[in-house]
Amino acid sequence: MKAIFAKLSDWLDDRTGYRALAHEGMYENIPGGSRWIYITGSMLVFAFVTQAITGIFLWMAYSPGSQNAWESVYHITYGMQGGFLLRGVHHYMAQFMVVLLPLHLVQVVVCRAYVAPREINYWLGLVLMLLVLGLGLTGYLLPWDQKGYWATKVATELMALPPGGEQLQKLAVGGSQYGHATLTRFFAMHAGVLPALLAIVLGLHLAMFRKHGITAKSSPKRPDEYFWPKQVFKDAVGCLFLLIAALGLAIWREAELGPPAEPTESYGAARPEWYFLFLFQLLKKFKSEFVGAIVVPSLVMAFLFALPLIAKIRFGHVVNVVVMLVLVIGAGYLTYEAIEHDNYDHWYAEQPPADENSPEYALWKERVDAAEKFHAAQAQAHHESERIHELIDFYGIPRTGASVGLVQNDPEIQGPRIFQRSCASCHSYLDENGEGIAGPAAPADWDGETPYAAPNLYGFATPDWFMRFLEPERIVSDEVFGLTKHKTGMMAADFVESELVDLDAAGKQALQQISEALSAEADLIWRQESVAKARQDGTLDKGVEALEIAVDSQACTDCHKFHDLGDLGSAPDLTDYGSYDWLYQFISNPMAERFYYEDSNDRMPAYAEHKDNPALNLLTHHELDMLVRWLRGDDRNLELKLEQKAAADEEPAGEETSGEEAAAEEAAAEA
Amino acid sequence: MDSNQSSVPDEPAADDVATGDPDTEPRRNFVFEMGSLIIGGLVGLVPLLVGLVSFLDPLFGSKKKPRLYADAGGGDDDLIRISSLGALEVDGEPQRFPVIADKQDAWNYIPDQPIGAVFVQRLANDEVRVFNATCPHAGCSVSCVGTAFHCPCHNSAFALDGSKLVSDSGRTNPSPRPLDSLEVDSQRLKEDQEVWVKFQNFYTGKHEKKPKS
Repeated sequence: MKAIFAKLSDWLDDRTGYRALAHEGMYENIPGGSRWIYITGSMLVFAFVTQAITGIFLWMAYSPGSQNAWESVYHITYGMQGGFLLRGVHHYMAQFMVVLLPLHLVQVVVCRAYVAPREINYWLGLVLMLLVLGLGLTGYLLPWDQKGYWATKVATELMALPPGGEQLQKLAVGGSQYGHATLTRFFAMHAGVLPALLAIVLGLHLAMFRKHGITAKSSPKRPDEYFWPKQVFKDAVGCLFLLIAALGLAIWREAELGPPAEPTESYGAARPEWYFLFLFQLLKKFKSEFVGAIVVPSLVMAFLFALPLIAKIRFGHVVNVVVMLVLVIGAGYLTYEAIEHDNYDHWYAEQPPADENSPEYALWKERVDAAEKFHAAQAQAHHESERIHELIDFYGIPRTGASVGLVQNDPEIQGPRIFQRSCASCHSYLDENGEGIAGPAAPADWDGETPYAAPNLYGFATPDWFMRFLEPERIVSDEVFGLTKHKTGMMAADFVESELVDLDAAGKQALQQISEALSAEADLIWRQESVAKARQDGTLDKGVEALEIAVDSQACTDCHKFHDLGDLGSAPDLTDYGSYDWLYQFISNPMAERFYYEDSNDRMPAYAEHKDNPALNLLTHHELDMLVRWLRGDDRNLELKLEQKAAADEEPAGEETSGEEAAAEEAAAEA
Repeated sequence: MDSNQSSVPDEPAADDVATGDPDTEPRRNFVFEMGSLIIGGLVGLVPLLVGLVSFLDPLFGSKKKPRLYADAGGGDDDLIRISSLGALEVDGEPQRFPVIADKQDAWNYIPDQPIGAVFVQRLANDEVRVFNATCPHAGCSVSCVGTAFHCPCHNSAFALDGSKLVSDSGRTNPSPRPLDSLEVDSQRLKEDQEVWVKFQNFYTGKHEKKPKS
């Protein structure tokens, strides 16, 4: 057996000369013996090899393109076996490379390994560093999530600053807008051009390193050693450490995938990857972006390239080391500062400067506010990510992609956005804990009387919603009619505030029953069970009865219409109150006869009154649809949609639109 | 990694000018050598293994349907509606129909997509014959010209009953088996007058008809 191996080995060596090669590789002399500090170079090589291997496997599952990139990364992370680990290792190893690079560089400079005759190898090292940073920058975009999208967008926007930069930017982005071509180009750079260049330059770097050898000098105390086996062992242990760290992080802190890129939504938590934070912070230090983004970084790079030349001057090396350390400390400080500013609300919220009129206080306030906004945006992104998970588990990812196909059509994501821009100038949407969307702040000169805001729409059409209008202390509160002219209107002043003030237990119970009955009109999908229960125990019937029983002189149906009782025109119709169609029509035109007819409306605009010319409407059908479904909570629990679908499946085939959409379409057709 | 190169001679060449002499401590060296080989091999292999696990996903990974479609039919093994019986003439030529079903395409889930094609021929009032339109030879799509099925790729030919035809010139038919017939739901055919088929694709180039799962 042994003889066969020996023969095979001889045969191979005769043809390849591999023994001499391996010998040359393994028995390089290390003056002064093996050392732990020599391992950074090998670790970088190992990290690059790991990136190449994991990168190629990721490549087999990744698809560039604005409808596929995020989706395929989602599939890698959550759909493929071991995909999260693969992506995680690639994600974290990239960061380790960026940490090791400056270590390696500082080590080379401090140990004088950059001076003659090793200048060229030093320059190659700097080129390698730029290539790795380029890989980091291009790779950050590829998942096409909000974070990568906006961070990279800033980087390419800055490309246009220097003369000729506009053309350069167009070339990098693949046009004037981010899209498919941006991804195909970035991907080709990330997986093809940059790694190939890196491999070539790395080869030269290693070859030249071998030519010049290690800079250290042998001493009697530390005898020389060969590369094999002790240095190899140390290198291997270093690499093992890297690998374990990457695996551990990939498992315990899974590589994040934010919500899919949305060019129309700003992203308040847009930050570059942490190792570019010092550049991000640097940019803020200068009035001119050109100086912060182009001039200063270029000067620093120029200095780094000039190190071997500076070293020729007297004390040049010392200057180099000092400036180098200053640069590293500076970058470290800028990174810290960027992190500090983003965490100002957490770290310093309790420590405001004493004098509230001092500029320090203003600065502190500014930073706390900014950090709060940053964290709110982060929390929002996190929240949306979770929602998108739910949506994908439920609907799957349509061909149009997660952003257009799911995010744009989800009421739980779109509803708050539309509310914020179209409704929140009057209405609020705040839950019991005061969280949600705040309405307008009182004007500075508010007299406490003039109405300026509209009801809090949280819990719309629930029994509690109706109770707010039936309890004397609540109907005139700020969250109901208190900030509108309805506070002194018929309902509040003449009825609730006078007739319903001192109700007995039976009266109060009747109000509860009325509320239940009215809420049942809305047919809220998430309340179906409670409604069925109320129907069974007779609460609904009693509520309907109570609607027409006059309290003292007036009954609800004296003003409101409820099915066959009462007439339209004097107060909002209670028939189907809060149903999809009711709310859709209400927002479309609250001044219609069915709602606050003509003058009884208090300043609420008609958002979609032009049925024949939708272009004139303040909200599109899609926006109204999102808003109505969100206010009603129709999509809050997706599981309930299954029942809806089962019900729809029982209807004759060919019915494709959901009940809600059909209602809206019908309404549009009617008008 | 350098450390992966295992077949290295143990001693430096005699003409080596290096001053270091690792052979003075043979036992300790053995520990470092084995350590280097094991750790080096490990760090080299693990990234590869991590990649392989996800590469092998098509063989071992599980597929999860979106909740909305989880209970609905349309999967590979389910019956799929092809046509109404009324659309087919008794004893007419085989008609080509697309097979429409929900499609899981890696990250996309797309309802009602064409996933294949079948030929349906109505033999009698309530008797139909259905073939998968894929040629059993090499997977091209066969077409029907009046009295026979032809495959444009390598000239396979099949009679209307699916059996292999030998061409007039006597050229051999490369297909290893007749056209793949598909199971028809007889109950729906008789009661609902509709053609529902258990749509399957089969491995091509083999004598036996083995469904792809």
